[in-house]
Amino acid sequence: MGGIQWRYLGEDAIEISNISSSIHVQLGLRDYLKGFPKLGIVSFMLTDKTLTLVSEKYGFMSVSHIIDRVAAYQHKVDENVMLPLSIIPICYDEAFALDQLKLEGICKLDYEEIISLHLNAEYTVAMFGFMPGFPYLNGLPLSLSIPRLKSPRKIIPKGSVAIANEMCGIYPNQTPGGWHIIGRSPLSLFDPLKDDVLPLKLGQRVKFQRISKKDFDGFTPN
Amino acid sequence: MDLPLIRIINSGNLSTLQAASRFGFSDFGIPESGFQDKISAQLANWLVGNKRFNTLIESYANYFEFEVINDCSMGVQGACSEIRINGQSVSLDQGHHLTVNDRIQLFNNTHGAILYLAMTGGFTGTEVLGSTATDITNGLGGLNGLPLASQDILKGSKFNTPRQTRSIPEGLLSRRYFSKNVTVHVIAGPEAYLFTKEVIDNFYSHAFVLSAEISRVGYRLTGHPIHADSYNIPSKTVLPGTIQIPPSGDPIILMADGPVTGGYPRMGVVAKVDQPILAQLRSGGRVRFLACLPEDARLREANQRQWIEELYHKKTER
Repeated sequence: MGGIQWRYLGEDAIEISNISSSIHVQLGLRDYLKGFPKLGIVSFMLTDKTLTLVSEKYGFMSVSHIIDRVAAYQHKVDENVMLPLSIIPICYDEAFALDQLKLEGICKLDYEEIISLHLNAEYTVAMFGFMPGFPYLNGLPLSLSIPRLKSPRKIIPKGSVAIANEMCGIYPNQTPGGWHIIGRSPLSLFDPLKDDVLPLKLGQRVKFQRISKKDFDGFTPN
Repeated sequence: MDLPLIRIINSGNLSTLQAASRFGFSDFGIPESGFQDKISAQLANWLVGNKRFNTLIESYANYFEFEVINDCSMGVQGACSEIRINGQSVSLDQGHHLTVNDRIQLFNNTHGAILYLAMTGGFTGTEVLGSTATDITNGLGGLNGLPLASQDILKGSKFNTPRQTRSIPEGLLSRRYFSKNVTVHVIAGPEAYLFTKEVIDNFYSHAFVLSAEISRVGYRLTGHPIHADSYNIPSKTVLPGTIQIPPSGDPIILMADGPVTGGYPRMGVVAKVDQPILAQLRSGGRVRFLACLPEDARLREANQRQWIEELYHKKTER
C-alpha cells in the first residue's frame, strides 16, 4: 500500500484513509496490526475505506511506525477466514414495509420485483455504527440504491430492515432514523447481556429469507 | 452484598449513574459513556476514599435531594454551590458522614452544569460490557439503563461505613475552571479541508453560544453558522469531543454518549484536557475555540492526569 494518507482525530487517535474497500482486506490489516502490541493501539474501527486507531493513555509514541506497518501489510486471500453465511428471516408484509409505496415510486418497480431484487442479493457486513449492533450491509442491487429520507422518521420499529444509498441495514432497536423501510426481521441483533453480544460479525456474508406474517408472529428466537 | 443507601427525593435534570467508560466496543456501535467531567468525578470519589472510577451519580440538577437509608459517607464535587444536611449548610470541599434519615439538599446556582455525588464504596449499577456507566439512549448500564428518578432507591456496598473525612487540599483546581465564558483547545479534524480558510478563521475567532440542546449525547452551539463546501461524505468514526458541522451550520459537539459514527464533516476534536471545561458550560454560556497541536494537547492532559494521580497516591492525612 503506497501513498498512505492519515490524519489525526483528536490527540490520541489517527485515521488511515483510502485503504482497500474490501472488508476482508480491511479486517486482514486490522488483525495484522493487532499482532504488534508495541504500537500501542487499543481500539480499531473500520468505516468506509478508513481505519481509525485509538492509542493507549498518552497518544501514539510513533505514528510513523504504524504507517510503516500498514505499508508492509500484504493481503493474502485466505478463503478459510471467510465467515459462514448468515440467513436472516424477513417479512415484507405491508404492515412492516412502511415505505413500500415510496420505494415503488422511486425505483419504478412493483413491490414483488423489489422484494426479489432484495432477496437475491448477497450482502457483507461492512461496519457497525449509528447505534449498538446496527449492521451496514454492502451488496444492495444498484436499482434499489436511493437517497435517505429527506426528514428522518421519529420512530423506526425494532427489527426494521431498511435501505439507503448503496447500503442495507437492520435496526436492532427502536430509534429515529432516515432509511427507507423495506420489511422487518424477528431476529434479535443486539443483546448486551449475552456472551455473544452481536450474532452478526464484521465481514460476514448475509442473505435474507422471506417469511410470512404468520411465521413472523410465531417466530421464537433460539 | 449490597445495602440500600439512599432514596432520591428530587432527582433533578438528567441524573445518571456513571463510572469508567465502556471503552473498546465502538466496532459494535456502542458509545463510550462514563464521566463527562473526569476531574470533578475523580475528586468526588477521592473525597470518600474510593477508587478513581467508582460508580457515582452525575447530574445536571439545579436542585437534588435525597434521604439516607443506611449510614454512609458522601463526597460532592462539580457544579454545586451549597450542600445542606438536615437544613444546615456544610462545607463543599470535604467528605461528610451521613446517618439514617438524614436529608441532603444539593443546590447549584453557579456557572458549572454538572454535579457529582459519590458514596464510599460506590453505588451498585448493572454492569454491561465491563462498565456500570449509564447510556440512556441505548438503555445500557446504571439503574436498568434509565435516568435516575425521584423515589429511586440506590444501593451500595455494605462496606461503605465511614472511614475518614477528606478535604480537597488548598490550591487544587477543584471547580475553578467553571465559567460562563470558556476557551477550549481544538485539534483540527479529518474534514477540516472541506472548509475555506475564511470559514476556518471565523470558526476560531468567534465565540459560540451553547444552546438549550444539551445532553450526554451532544451539545449544540449557535450564533455563528459555519458552512462546509460539501456535506456529501460517508459515515466515519466520531469520538467524544468531535465537532461536527451539519448543513444548518450550527456545530454539534459530541459528548460521552455520542454515537460511534457520524456523517457530518468533522471540523475538529476538543482536546481531552478541555472536555471537562466544555461539559461544565451552562446553556447560554459562550465558548471560543483555540487551534492546538496534538502533542500540546497530550502534554497538557498528562499534567492534568499527573496531579490527580498524585492526589490519589498521596498518603492520606487525617
